Amino acid sequence: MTERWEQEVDRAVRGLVAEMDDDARARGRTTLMEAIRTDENRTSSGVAEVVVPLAHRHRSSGRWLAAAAAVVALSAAVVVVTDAVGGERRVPNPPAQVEQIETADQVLQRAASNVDTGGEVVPDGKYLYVKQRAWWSRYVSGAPKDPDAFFVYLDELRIESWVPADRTQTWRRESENTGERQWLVGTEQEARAAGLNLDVEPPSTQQARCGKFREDADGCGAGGWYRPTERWVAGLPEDPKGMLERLREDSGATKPRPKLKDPNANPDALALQTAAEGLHSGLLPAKVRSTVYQAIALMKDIEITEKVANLDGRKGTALGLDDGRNRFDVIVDYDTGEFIGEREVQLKDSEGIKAGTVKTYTSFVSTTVDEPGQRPEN
Amino acid sequence: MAALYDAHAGELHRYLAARTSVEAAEDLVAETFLQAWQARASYRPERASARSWLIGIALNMLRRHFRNEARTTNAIAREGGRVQHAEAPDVMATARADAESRTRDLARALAGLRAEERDVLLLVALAELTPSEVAAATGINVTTVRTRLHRARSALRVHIEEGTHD
Repeated sequence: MTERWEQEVDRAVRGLVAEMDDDARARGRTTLMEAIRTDENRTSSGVAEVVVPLAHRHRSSGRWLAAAAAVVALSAAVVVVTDAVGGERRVPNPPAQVEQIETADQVLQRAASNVDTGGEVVPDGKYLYVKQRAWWSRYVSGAPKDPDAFFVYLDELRIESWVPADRTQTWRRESENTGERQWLVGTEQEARAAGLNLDVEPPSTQQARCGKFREDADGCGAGGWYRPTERWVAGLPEDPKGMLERLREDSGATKPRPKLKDPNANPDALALQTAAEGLHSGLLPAKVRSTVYQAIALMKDIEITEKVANLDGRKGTALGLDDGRNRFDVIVDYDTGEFIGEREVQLKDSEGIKAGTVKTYTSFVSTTVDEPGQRPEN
Repeated sequence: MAALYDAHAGELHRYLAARTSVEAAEDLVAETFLQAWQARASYRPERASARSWLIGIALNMLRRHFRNEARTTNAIAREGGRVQHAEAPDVMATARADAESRTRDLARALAGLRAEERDVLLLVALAELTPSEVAAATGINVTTVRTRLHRARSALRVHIEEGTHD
């Protein structure tokens, strides 16, 4: 309840500022509605009509006009992105949306509330399809013809899983190393000359009840972040704070820094990676995903790194923490609450790899399909 | 969008004018609503009031405005030109020059507040946000918002009370 003296202070402060005059208000309204109409014309016709409101000639800069023009003039320019993932690749220029920077907390709260609980349950007889496309880094020390050789490269893996609605039934998994590489240290030619075997394993298909492709990967058993089972999920905390503590504990972050080599590293960087493990399994129910997002929002120093296109071109907001040597980001679409992917970025020049190099980059898709082996249309 | 503009343009303008100038405020209000239109699909009424959503966008516009001002200043300085480092020609400065001493004292006291306390007070007094809305728009913890608001108001209280005794 605001006390009277507080209201008086507020009123006095308001008295220091001139109110918006009627002309300015009317001008602003007219110009806004014209810009909206122009934007709607563009959307319906598919053609960029640059209609700059002529009535508005503001006495200060033309920034408002430039902003309106930027909205309607969609550029089809192609942006060349150079990074360690895929080398130089051409991606379409993002739509001329005005940049909207929000706090990490706002992004994650929105994502949490937008998680689609409606499309959550896989209908009987159908399958959850989960696809990961990943560039992972490989470090090679020593080669048959050169014991001092050192190489670092990224190679591309595609892993697709079909999980039956009844998890005790047969799961299917197809995985493939595509043979594509990006060299961070050394070249393909040098590596082959040093005697390194760069042959990739042929694509493989596995089928197993409960998804038990490995002894420790039982999709019906005790479970964990890597392979959330229904039993394991039932034991997770339902509140964000409890979830954060659980992530910290399960990531080993509460132990005396066994995995963090930098004493200044943020221990929640490990917890974030653990959260990502659960998210990219595709097996966390929507409600749990929502709580995990809220738990991430509570992590120390979590921040937005940028709006990025992930591996397959889907745009999302990256939120990250660094462990002193690398920054780890999760990428979410806060409009839909979907987890899109993750990446790891090296922070300092080290071992021949430059600061800013992306060392791991994965995209993630999940949806429902009718049969094992079936892929969604797009 | 028209209804949103009619409901909130005035308070946004008041706040932005206090942070920059009346001239800049008109542009910034327009840009805020334009961006709100672009981002309308992402607005979730259950997460934030329209007012705090709009002020969040306005704060981004403001940050960009100040960055552009700084870049222009630096560019001029690099070119060897002279840059007049004036305070933002804000309405507070105008008020300080006001012949009315009460207004002048209040404006001076407002300018003398800690920046984080002044920012919260301006959002509440001028943009008419509640403390919860300020927290939602800025990401600051709501308890911190309330503390800063209380301190700011308390610091200015003496000038209001002195004024009423004139």
